[in-house]
Amino acid sequence: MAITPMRLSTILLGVVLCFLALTAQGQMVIRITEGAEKRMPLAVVPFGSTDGQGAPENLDEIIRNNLTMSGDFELLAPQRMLSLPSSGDDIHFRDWRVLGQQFVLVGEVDYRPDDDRYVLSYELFDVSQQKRILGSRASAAPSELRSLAHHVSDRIYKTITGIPGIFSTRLAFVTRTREEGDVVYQLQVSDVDGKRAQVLLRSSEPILSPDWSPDRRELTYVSFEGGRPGVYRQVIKSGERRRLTSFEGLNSAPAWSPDGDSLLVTLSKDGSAEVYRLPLDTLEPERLTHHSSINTEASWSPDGERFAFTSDRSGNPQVYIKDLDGGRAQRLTFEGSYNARPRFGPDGEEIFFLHRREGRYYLGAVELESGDERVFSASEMDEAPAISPNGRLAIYVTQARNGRNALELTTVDGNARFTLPVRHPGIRDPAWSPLN
Amino acid sequence: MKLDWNRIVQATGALGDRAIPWVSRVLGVPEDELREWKWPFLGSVGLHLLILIMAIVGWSSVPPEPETTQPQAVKARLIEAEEPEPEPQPEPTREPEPEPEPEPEPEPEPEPEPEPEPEPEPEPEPEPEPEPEPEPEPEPEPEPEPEPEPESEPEPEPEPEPEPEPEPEPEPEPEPEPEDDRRSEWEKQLEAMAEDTETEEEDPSPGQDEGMEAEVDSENGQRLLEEWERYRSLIKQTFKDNWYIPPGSDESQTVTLSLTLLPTGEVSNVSIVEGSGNQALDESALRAVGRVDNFPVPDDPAVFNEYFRGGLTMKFSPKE
Repeated sequence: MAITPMRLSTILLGVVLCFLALTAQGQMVIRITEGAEKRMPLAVVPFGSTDGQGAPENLDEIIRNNLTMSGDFELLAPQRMLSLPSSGDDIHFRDWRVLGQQFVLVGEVDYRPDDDRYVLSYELFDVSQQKRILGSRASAAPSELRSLAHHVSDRIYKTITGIPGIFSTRLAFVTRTREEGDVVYQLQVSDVDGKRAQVLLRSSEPILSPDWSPDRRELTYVSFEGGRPGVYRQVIKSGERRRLTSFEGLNSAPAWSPDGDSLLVTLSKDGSAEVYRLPLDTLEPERLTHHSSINTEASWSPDGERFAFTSDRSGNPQVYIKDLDGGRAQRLTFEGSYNARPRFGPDGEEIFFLHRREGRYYLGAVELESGDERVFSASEMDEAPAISPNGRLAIYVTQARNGRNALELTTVDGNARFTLPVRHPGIRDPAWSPLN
Repeated sequence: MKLDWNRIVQATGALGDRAIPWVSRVLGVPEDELREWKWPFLGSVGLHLLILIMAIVGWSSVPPEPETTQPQAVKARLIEAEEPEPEPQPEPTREPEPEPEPEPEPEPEPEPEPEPEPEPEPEPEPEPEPEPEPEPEPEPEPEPEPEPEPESEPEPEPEPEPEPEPEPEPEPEPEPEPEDDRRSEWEKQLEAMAEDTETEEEDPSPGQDEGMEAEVDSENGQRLLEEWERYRSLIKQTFKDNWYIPPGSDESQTVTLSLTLLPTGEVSNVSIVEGSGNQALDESALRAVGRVDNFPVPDDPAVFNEYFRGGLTMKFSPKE
């Protein structure tokens, strides 16, 4: 009798069946698909200090505010804490379990006179597993304590979620105020929590559409100084600036390429508003769209190979996508009659945009692969959302009750919102810097 | 002790050669043909023996040992405390901030304004911004420090070893279909709601996911099965309160845990059988188990022995 592969497989199958029979009484399976619909509870214990003085900035409070702002954590108020340990040795996990906490951050901050720096030693613990999941020490000059707190916040966020934190990133925005009867526009940059704002440019003419260079050292924007629009770039540190375009007609919506070598801009020098690529070395614009309708507000895909833009070629504003090296523009949005100001998410899988329905604005997103569109937050202004470089948050301008505008953050799933403590009558155009 | 693989291979081959005449007689297959299949067959037999041994060893894993629920406290106080100083600054410029510089911009008056905040800003900072920092300087580099290293686990670590899946499991839950065509949010929500109700309805159908219909015929088996279903639902409910799904995880990721419960409901052992590829999700599942002080378990020893003593496999997969 010959042994064929068929027979061999029959024999093997027999062995496997025997095995299965033997293990039929193995482990039972339970599939868990739903978790707590709450944010992760985390306690940041007020930092201790061996010299009793602490730091001039309340570091633990900055960290608490940061993590709250992320929309992913529920921070325990210090008044509710049963104890205030400042090192892992002093933690009684039972206390924190009773309070329903998942994580506890403890630390100690001390001044080091030798080099005039504050040193923060911190440890993050997983309460249920009673194990330390992060511990380190970092120092900063007195003037940089907020940066230190942001840095620690980033590390905590990354450790728990696996996603990079955005607390050390920066925002750029434009404000419009009246000073002695005159309108003043200011281009400002600030920490992501709105603190440490710094004015980069003041002008009596409008400033619009700031966008960050990939290395975070420069901004590009549109300024109407001299009475006509031009696209500028400016080094943040030195203030050195340069005009890049000043063509007849529109010069608007600059967007820095991921490789930093060029911009996408909207120009109307050839008649209608079209999207152009502007190499920063030659400054010779190369036209990318060819349609008699309006084509504007371009946004690069993270890989730099495509761009999304707004066009009214279908009769009303909709979001389109096109390859940089040609091909046909493909329409992405179909829900409603107004979808504009597209911004690519950092993973390139979704494009965020502004949706208008019955006079109200909403933040929407379209998934490129499936084409699914969703709306995740109501907005009140005709403002493009800026997406955080980790893809978790969108920031946009909203109108506060007192008539002052505010910057509001929302998670891109729409589950959490947070208003930044920056209020200004005329704040506009927030732009989020890339990660460090 | 070092393993000499050559010798092991030779010995195994010799063993196979000896067995061939016997197998030839039993199966009635010519020895020559059997020799052709010697190595595949030996490999297969070896593999199955290994699995069998592992399964048998696994069964005896409910030691009535005293209760040691939690991964006893980590004494990890960090040995790093040693060097506060040297800071040879491995990364001297970690600079969380590029930031302001020594002074005002030449041109368009960036005015460094120390207290940029134009507004009274109601919020967070109660503290009195000490001084108008004229300006920065180095950066807050994160001190040399012996990095965080998560610390050695007290627990049986993840080890994503294959581990024979207990059942082929006919999937109980109506999995959240991969949607591929364009639908509006509204439609999706409706669909999700419909899915939820389906899930509710399907859950109670006994033993579906475990493929354990064996004893359903007997009355006692039916009773046990019903009890099991009841506790399975209770356990699922428990995780609705205790599993915090980390942002960024999705339904395509599943982490499989194996856990052993004591008759009191305490966890005597938990480990990751198969990771999801997303460490945050894996950790969240372990954390969720750690948060449950006592699992709901039946008082009836017969039910416990039948369904819980052999351990549980828990698959955590976030539903969109």
